[in-house]
Amino acid sequence: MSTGKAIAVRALALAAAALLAAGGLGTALAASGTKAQVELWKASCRVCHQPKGSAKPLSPSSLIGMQWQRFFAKQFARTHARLTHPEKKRALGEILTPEIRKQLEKFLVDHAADSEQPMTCGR
Amino acid sequence: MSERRVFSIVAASIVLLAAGVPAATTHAATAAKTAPATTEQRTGTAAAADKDGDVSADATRDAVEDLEQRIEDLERRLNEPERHAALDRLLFQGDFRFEAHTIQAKIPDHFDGMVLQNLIVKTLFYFQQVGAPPESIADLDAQIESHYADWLLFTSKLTFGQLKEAMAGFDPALQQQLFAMYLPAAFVPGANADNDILYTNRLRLRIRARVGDNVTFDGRLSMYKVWGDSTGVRVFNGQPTTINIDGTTANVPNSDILRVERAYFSWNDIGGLPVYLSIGRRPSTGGVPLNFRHDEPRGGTPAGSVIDFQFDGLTFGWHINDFSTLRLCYGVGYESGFGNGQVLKNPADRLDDVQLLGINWDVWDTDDMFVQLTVAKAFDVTDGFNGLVVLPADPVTGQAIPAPVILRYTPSAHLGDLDLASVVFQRSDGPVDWFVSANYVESSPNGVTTPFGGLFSDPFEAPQDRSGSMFYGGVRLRFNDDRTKIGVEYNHGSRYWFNFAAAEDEIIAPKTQTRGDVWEVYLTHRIENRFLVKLDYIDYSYDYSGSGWLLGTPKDLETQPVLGFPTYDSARKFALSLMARW
Repeated sequence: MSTGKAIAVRALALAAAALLAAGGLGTALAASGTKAQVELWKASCRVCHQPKGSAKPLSPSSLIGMQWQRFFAKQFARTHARLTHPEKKRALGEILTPEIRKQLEKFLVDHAADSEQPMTCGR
Repeated sequence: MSERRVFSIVAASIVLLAAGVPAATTHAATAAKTAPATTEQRTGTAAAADKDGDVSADATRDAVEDLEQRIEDLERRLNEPERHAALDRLLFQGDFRFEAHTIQAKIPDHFDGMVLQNLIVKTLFYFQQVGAPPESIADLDAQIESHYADWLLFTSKLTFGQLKEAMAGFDPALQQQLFAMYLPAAFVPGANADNDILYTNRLRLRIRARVGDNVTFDGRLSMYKVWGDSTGVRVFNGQPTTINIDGTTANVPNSDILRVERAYFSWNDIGGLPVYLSIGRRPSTGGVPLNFRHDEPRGGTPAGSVIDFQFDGLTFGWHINDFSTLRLCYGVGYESGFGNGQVLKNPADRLDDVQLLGINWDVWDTDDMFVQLTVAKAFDVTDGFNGLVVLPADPVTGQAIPAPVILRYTPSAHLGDLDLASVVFQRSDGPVDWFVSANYVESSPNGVTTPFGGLFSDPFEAPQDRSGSMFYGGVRLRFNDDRTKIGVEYNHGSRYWFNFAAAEDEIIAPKTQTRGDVWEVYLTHRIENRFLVKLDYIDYSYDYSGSGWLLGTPKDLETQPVLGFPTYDSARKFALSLMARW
């Protein structure tokens, strides 16, 4: 086998191993906290706060941590609780229970503009 | 809280000043429907309140609600300038680290390869002069002393090619006889190489800018030095980090010079597609899983276990989904046509560039689970990269260089290709972070050797295809509300293991380059959110020589090997770090 082919085979083997590792831990993945938080953020906030949405586009880094904390502590009840979720057709105050808001807040503070952030390309 | 008071006072003032003026905002307009809008109305309501306490309470409540609405509106409007003000400062983030190290290291019994090479060169000279082999080392020295001018002429004209040819022509029996005579003179008994105390300062300034809707810039300026030295150049001692090359200028202690460690832009969402292009001096150090031991977020794009090296290049990336990114990366390790006097050479003797190509796939990337796959190839690898160094001995003649002269080292030949592959798997389960990593390297030499050797071969050997591997695992426990973390890591590299990790953050040597075993135990604690203390103990146990080198045959350190330069067979370090991040 040529070196090129051997490397390609090894690369594929490694890729398969990586995928198996990821797939093999599917159960754990389903319970993965951060994936759930990202999905929650998308379903609860991004559903409106996106470029073609009904509200101003937002990402976790749109505000600093203190501002996210203030939003959940002071502003949510007055500005968002009575708004209707565009898909679930229920008030946000009902959908986003205190426990869910706590999870959202943690996710947003952890990824706020002033949080310690990875230094990689493309994000 | 004082800010809120100021907002309230400002808002109240605005309400009073604006009384009688139609409200400008939607909220204000809404509020105007439910609250008194003019002084006259307020006075009227107040008068009514004097007659009826309930009305007065309602009016007060309405007024308070109105005030709250207006404050709310003001706060919302102030969010942007407040954030902007904060980010104006945060765009220039950074960190400063002080470290104190105590190092205890041992160099094994070995034979000095430079001394041996020097004796062989002297023997060639002796042969030319006398026509017979010497009977002792004293014969060699006597001949040189009595024909010193001839000796100088001989050594000044001797090339590595001639030396290699002469070595090949040596009768094996004679070689054995001469080596038996020379080896005792080249023997170096094992010794300690301790450093009771070594202090370092490291400053890193991160600059971020949002260039446009889809374009960002990220850069980092770094200064890293030991206390008491700013020369920027080190005497070469056999460790790969003692030669200054492009890949290590900012991550190996150098001087008080602030260098551009990273500078790149990312052009995101090109054409509305989930792809990006990033070009510049890459974020290619401190990748997963090397960041855990420093209590830092992921410090670079490629897996740190296989590439921890500064280089210039580009990345084309595809965000497959929110949790997976595939990247094609390209870089240049050596530019042959600039600064190397290529035009002074015959076209046939000129070198090509050294190019690096890789695929880097974040198979799964969330805060609590990370899987990364890397495949990379280095084409036409040379015998080292451009660098600055103080060489203690001439690698051709083995003669000691009498003065600490700074040399610009330039590669002299292509040695072949290197292929690397790596998989990293990391998870966080409750208070435990853990990772495992498997890494592989394979060489495809082209048969060429130079005074520093060939790919995993000595200068006078014929290089063979070699492969090496390295396994790396670690566990970290978080407690005290994640402020305190204690971790243990282990890695093992095989005989022919090599990675591009010369810029790895470790003062003794990059631990993932070790051909042997490394254990590390550390404790980090956040005294303040962004002020950390770290205690670290690291223990290296080397099995083979040449860790971190793609040149030279790795020698078993228990066999009293011939070493071109000394190497550690064990090393351990205690370190205390204090780091301020802002």
